[in-house]
Amino acid sequence: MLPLLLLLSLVLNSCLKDKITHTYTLMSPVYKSKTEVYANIKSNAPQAIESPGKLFLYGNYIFLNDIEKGVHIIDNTNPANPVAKAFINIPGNLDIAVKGNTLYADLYTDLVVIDISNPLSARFEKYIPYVFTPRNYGNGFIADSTRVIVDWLTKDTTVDIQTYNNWNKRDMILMSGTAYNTPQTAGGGGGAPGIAGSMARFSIVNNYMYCVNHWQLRSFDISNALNPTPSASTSIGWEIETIYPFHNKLFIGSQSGMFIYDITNPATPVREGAFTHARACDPVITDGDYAYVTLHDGTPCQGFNNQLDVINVTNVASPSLLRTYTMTHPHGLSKAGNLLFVCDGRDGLKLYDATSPGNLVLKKHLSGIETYDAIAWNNNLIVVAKDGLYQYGYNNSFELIQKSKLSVDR
Amino acid sequence: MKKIITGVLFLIASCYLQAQKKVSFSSQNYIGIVTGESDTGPQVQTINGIRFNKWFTGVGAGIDWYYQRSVPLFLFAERGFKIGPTRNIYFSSGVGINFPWSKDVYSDWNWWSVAESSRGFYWNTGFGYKIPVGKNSDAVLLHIGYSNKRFSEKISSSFPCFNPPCPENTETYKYNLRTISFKLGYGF
Repeated sequence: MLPLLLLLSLVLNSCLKDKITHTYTLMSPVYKSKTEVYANIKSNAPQAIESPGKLFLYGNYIFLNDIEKGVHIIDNTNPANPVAKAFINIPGNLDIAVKGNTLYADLYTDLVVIDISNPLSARFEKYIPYVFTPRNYGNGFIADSTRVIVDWLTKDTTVDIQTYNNWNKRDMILMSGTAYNTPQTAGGGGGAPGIAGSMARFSIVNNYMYCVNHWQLRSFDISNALNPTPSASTSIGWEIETIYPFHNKLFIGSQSGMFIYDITNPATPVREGAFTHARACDPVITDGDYAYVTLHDGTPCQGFNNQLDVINVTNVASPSLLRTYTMTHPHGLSKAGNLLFVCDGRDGLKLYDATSPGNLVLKKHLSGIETYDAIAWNNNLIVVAKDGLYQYGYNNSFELIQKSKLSVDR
Repeated sequence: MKKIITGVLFLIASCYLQAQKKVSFSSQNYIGIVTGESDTGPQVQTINGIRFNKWFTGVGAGIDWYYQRSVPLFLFAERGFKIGPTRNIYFSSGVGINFPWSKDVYSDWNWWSVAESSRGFYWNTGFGYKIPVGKNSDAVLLHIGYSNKRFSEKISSSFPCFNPPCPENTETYKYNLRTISFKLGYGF
């Protein structure tokens, strides 16, 4: 039987050719020289929001990161009618922080310093190289370090698997710029000269800026805001993600837990306590007595929990878990008095009564939007969502009233 | 494809029109092997319909393990020829739809991807030899055939990232698989 089949296979060889095609999107980088890129870091005409990322509230302005593209400057004098005023092109940008008239942003591995004394006429001042971790794009692609990737060209490509299934001939199917191992930068927080979301990776406290990369907490003296001076580097373990300042403490979220650093001596942060938990990604905020940490899956952290942990941090040397709440896919969060806002990813925005942190009560649930991060300030809640930037009015009666939306235009 | 389906329907209709003698229910049930460029695998098939004169027509279904397990569902027609007092050969063809068995193969190992398989075209043709057993029309069937099954698979990935929204990517695989088959069956 088998010989007969083999014979037939030979005879009918041409009729037995399988045809398997693979259609995918091929991405190739567009480079510019560093000189060109730095020359273009200025206030350009406002652009449509494509992919909203980190958020920073400063005075009447919202600074909104557009992932990998730059920063939108939005005049928020009237939250019911926010007006995009300018866009600063910063390729590879994921995080921002503001102090006084100075905007700090990451440009891939570099920290760039921008004078925004007139936000509508921002000016590049300087850059500090190699502050952040280089990207890992996957598939063996290594970016040209002498130039800067400013865009990606995409091309739909179809190949025949039979004639193409050879690794030496494979094209690069890149996972785009924000995939694995993006630069680990940080943002400012409560008590700082501006307000950052809970997923920030820069933090400014008085005259110091703190940045986290994969394994380090780096501090910069910004007494002279336009000229940050490195002051200390502290190894704090691996896979550090977010930083949230509160009074003289830094609450640092990592894939393996939450670390508390004392910055009484701001130049040299000192570790005071840690709370380890399941392996997942976790933005963290605190009100001083309790820390609120969200864990979610779908990240390089390889965690599979989706939950909100409330941690008692009254004794910072020994934080303890108060209670865990099940969530759908939580990301950023914000707290105003007893109101706790949780961005639960595709499950929308949730508002809890946090009068008793051990017994959070869901008061409002806005579904139909995919939310990532939030800032609650002065009865105005700013929410970064997949489809735009939302603003809501809130009050102690747990009412949420939408004031405006700046839509994404992809 | 429309021409083939129309042709098979026409064949079935003309058979009905020609069926002036007795019409009876008939069934063929096979197990076999399918082999091609990429794989060799088993198959099972059942075809049920009506027999009249030298024609047999009906609906067939089976499971085909070649490359990726799928369920072909097809309209079928067969014409028999007498080559001796007790010896018969027959030619057969079928055309229909191939349904992939699994909807999401990738998520078994790749948790950030979701795969969705879609059905495709299916046809087969071949000839066989009948060895009568018993007094009625029962027979052992030996069949050699050629078949073509198609399906596609769309894989949507949302890559893990720290900064949502995470990058998304969509890939599509289209399969056009050609095989020969050797089947052993029993018909009545």
